[in-house]
Amino acid sequence: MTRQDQSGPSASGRPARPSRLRNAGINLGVILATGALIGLSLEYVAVPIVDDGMQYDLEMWKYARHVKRVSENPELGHAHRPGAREMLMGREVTTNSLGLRDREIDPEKKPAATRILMLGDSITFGWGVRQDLTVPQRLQSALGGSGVEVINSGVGNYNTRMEVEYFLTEGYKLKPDIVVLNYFVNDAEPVPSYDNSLLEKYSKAFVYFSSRWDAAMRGAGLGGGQQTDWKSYYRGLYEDRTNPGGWSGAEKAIERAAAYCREHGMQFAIVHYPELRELRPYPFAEVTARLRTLSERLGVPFIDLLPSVEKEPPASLWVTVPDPHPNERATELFAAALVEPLRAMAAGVAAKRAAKAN
Amino acid sequence: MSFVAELWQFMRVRKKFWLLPIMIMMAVFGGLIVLTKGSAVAPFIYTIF
Repeated sequence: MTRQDQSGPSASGRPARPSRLRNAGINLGVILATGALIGLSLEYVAVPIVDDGMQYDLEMWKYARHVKRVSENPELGHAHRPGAREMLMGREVTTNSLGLRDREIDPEKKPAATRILMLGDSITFGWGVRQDLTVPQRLQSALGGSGVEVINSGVGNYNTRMEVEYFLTEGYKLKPDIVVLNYFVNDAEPVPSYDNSLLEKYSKAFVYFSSRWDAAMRGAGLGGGQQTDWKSYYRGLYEDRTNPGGWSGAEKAIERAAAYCREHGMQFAIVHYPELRELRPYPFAEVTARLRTLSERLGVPFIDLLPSVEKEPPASLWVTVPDPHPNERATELFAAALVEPLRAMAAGVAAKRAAKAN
Repeated sequence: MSFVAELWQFMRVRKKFWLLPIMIMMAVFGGLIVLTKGSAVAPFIYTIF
């Protein structure tokens, strides 16, 4: 039987041609099948090939999916899951029963111990850094012998408001003697959004390629709105036009934390971590000046860590080239700059305690 | 470039234009991987939260 026979003759006796509708259906089917094939290839072939465990965007996605969870407290936004274990950026990340990237902490402090609570974001957390080489752990190693306990409460993507909310709802329960607010230039960002699409939640390929697209747009200077280069983006966080309430929100949160510490006999300090892409001249000196002025107004110590790294080649301090989080060399330099100021503060706390006991 | 020209010739002569979207997508996604590999142009962006 020929194709003509299958189609049947038309009224004019000529073989019938496939209808337009049928053609459109076939075309649509081919387009959908091709789209599905491309999508599946990207998800299950291309991305697994490029995912070497060091891709910043994919690792951040794994961090959010496997280590973080959305908090019931909207002011806190999110927190770590207790007892999580995951390889991220080639480093093992584990959280203790309190959800901290730290050893198990006894909520009841030993009477003679001086506790330092490090509030912060992914830099304090130690993104891309071995657990024993984060800034808090290095301080613990340096100061632990003199009865000091340093606690790492850093959580990736926390801003200052969220860090202070953590302290006022959870961190204070650890009874710290010294609270250190670790500040980075992006800490004036708004609280993140948690209404992610299904693709963002479940598709590695979507996450990877949307991030690549974003980088390409920024690199080509074609992005609008939020898709600006990193310097403009960070500067924009401190302008009310682009980020209303960003800095003022952070400032108010720092004031709340300082007031709480004052009322409860705790020491409070602010530490500034530099953005490591450009160190000389440093492009965000104005942000450092704001923090310094705020510390002076509150009467609390301010430690700027820029001098500890400014002579280093910037890229030697990054976790990877597209991910300039501080690497293990940078945490070594930062911790070295923090040891003496914190030792002095801890000695002051111990002396006060001894005077009270006598 | 001769490879691209040959591929285009092949698609034209054999009427395999259905290959075109696949080729374009491969070029776009491959280009994104290669061109953005060594750049630190974006601020710290968190993928979900």
